[in-house]
Amino acid sequence: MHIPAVYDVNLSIVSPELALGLVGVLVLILDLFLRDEEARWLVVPSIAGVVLSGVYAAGLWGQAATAFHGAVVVDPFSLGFDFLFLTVILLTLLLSLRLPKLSSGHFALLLWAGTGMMLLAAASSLMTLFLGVELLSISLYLLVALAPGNAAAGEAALKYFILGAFATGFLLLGIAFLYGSTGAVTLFGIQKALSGGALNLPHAFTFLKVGLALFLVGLGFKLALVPFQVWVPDVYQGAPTPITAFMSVGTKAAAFAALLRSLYGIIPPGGWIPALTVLAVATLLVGSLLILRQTNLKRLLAYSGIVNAGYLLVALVSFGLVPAAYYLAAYTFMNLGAFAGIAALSKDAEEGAELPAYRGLAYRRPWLGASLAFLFLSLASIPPTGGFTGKFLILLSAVASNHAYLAVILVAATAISLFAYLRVVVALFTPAEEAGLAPRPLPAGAVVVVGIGVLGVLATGILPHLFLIPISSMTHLFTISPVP
Amino acid sequence: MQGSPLLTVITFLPLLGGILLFLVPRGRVGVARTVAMLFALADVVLTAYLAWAAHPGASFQFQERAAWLPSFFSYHLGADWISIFLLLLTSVSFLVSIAASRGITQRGRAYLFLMLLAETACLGLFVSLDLFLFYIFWEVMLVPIYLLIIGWGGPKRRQAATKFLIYNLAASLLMLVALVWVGIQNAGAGHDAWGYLSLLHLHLPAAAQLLPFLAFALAFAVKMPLFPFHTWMPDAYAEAPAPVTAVLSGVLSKAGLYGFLRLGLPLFPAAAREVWPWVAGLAIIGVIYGSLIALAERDAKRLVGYASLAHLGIILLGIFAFDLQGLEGGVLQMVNHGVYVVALFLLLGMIEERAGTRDVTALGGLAVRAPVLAASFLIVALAALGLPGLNGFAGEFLILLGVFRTHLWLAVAAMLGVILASAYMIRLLQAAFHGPRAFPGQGREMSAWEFTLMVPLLFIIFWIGIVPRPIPAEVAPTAHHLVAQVSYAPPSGFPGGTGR
Repeated sequence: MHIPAVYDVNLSIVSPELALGLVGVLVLILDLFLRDEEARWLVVPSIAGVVLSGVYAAGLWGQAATAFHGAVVVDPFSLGFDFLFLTVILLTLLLSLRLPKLSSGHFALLLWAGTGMMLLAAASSLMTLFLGVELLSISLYLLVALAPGNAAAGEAALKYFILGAFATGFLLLGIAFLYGSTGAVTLFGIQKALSGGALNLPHAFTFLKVGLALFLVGLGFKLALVPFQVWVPDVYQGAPTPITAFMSVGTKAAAFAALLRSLYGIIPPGGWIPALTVLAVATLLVGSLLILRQTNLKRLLAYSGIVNAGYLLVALVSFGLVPAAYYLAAYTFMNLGAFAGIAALSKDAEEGAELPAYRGLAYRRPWLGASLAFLFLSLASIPPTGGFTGKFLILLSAVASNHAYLAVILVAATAISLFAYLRVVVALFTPAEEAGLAPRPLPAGAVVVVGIGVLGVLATGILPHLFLIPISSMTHLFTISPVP
Repeated sequence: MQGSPLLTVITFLPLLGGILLFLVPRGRVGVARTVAMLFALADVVLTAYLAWAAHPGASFQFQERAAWLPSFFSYHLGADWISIFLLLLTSVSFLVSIAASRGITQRGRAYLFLMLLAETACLGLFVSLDLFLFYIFWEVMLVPIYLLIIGWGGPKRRQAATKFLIYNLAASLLMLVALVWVGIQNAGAGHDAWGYLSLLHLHLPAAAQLLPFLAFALAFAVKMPLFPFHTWMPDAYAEAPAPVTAVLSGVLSKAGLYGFLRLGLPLFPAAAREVWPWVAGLAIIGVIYGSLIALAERDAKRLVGYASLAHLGIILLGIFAFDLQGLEGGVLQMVNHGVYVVALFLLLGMIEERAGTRDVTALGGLAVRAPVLAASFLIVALAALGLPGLNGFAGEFLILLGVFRTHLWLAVAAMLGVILASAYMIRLLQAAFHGPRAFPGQGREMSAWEFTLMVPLLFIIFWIGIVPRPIPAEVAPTAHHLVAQVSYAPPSGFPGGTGR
């Protein structure tokens, strides 16, 4: 069949996304033929789907091309993020195995959420970006809610849905304003319009500013930046732990990728640097102060996610693409590892216990306790961990781009939030009078994820070149829209 | 990897021992302690070999280097004579302190692991020739000490440990920003931006040195501690178990001074020269203030802590006199202070074990029952107050000589501190050992083991007291270098600075 060139269809460009999404459909169909107890076997085709998608992504490596009239782009930047997302999905699949009742659709929804994340990294049009956000968000609303018999999850899902839908509204309105002021939705088109004098029209500049502000609000919600972070703790606490882990890393990375591409791509830096600097400072300071009061481990990690979004913003403002990507990789390992530790210890009914329950874990479960302590030390950015090396690189970009004051605020936030993390470490090593959490036997999937997390944190901590070489090749070739 | 891995072995041997400890069955704390001591002892032997094999001069010896992140940082170790003496001090202090940890029976393996981890961090710090590596060791040092205080400390340990950590971390994170900035200035082809030896050739413009110097100096001042950044010190010293206090005061305080010697002066000579009146002023205030508080303090550990504040102030004064004798004396006194303060805190631990209190007004009469303990304490206290023939004298003498030649009034003020030292040390001695017996029974003599611990320290105290020459002689070339670097740096034009 011959497709006329005017449609600009090139399915190979979106093959990683397609593979993941279609395997998701397949998994859903397979689910019909399985009994409830057998549902967890669906993890096998799901993992196969992740691998397949990874193979397609690897096949595209080195290319830089767009398709669908500039709506989707493939370049090392999108592919690098694809690999990050696929890693996150893979680890989440392993973690999900310990959920007491796997509802049908769990695996399919995870794969679709992953498709949405990949679309976000590949979006070179605001419409594709919106599609990605919606695909990701709707899958997540359901994933949060899909915890049978857990009232907190239902509440969390509802909160997440209402606030998320609201934020999506902002995002869409922002896109509309951007379109109104420039007459284009593709990043390349907007860029061309801006340099071609589109702003000389009446009100166009105001529209652009309003549009940009609304756009930032929408993505800021997904990234959990202060002051759009209020939903985070409740949702993170209520959701099943594997889903929380997935959200804390995956959503953040995807929204960050989209923000990076659209901001660097369309708007001159002078336009958004002040706004993002303010957001970064607020996120760092508020996040690090709020984290101090947390005693529930999942809430603590939720606030930690907010502070970490602040670190990423500092890298964004100082054009530290490589540090940002490096930090995201390190953060993926330490955060997923920490969540996996919580998941491994949770009893069926209660998810993510309060801090006192973790007392003395290092004596009852020496390996798990020491691993968790190590992961939390990495979150506290104590060397020689990935958390430290990543932060060192972010500091490097901040100081090199003459944002030394941001570097100082960043280390202040690090110093403050450190206490929350160290409290966990101390609890792990404090002898407990009564036996706390330590189920026997430990779920294998979660333990594997903890192990991968520890190894990843060590590797990002002391072997930076392993990650920096692929990352810099990924960001040097960063393209917005190579083909007009 | 280039170079023989001797320094790597020395640095990481304690950590290896710490990890192997977990092979010892849980209940066998005695076995675990023996294993830990064997590793610490091996390190003493290796550092002694290092000192024997090293040749004189100011150069960095035993260098080894492995690529890490090319053009950023590398794994680069090396030792000059300042490092070598501090390595000796560190390995001996940790060996004795670990051996003195017999009272620790709860979670013994974790305790010993943390001690050995702290030893690795200290050793690594003293041989790092790369700022990134230096910072890693600098930070890693805090974690085990924090956990040691919180896990095995006195009743107010949480507060004390938290304060210790807040102060040190806040300061060292600021140093991190400055460290990043310095590396960026040094970025260029053909060398590592954070490599120490290439940084020595950086020659920052004088006007740009001030802020980074202050950030570095703050971190060092907190670690030492220097007045008025010392407020974490009395609590941490008092609450930590005696062996931990010993290494905290004996070794970790040297990390701060070492930072001034290794980084503060050579990298920012103009700033150091311009700021010196402030540093010297704070040091002198610390000397007087610490001595006066020590005169009035009732808690024996806090008393020695404040005395230590005064002694460290004198050492810093010697370093900031930018005079050959002052610097040599400073390094000599770093070793001396380390040795006698470790001995003092360990002896105080023994006294507390016997009396159940550290309140000097509640102690007394111990000399009757425990004459050997009293004699040991007497020797150490006399060394601390600078009696000729014991180790404290030579160092203080050289420092005062250096300061005297350059700034007469500072030497006079520092002399006041030396005089006060006799007063509070004699007071402590009297209160603990003489007068009526304050507590019944319990006042037993030192055990053979406790005495064995003191033997190496007493030996060093006498040895350096009688033959102090080797340390200043070996350090002299390095000190020459440092003095030249600081003296010939162009002025920075910093307002308020006087220059020389």
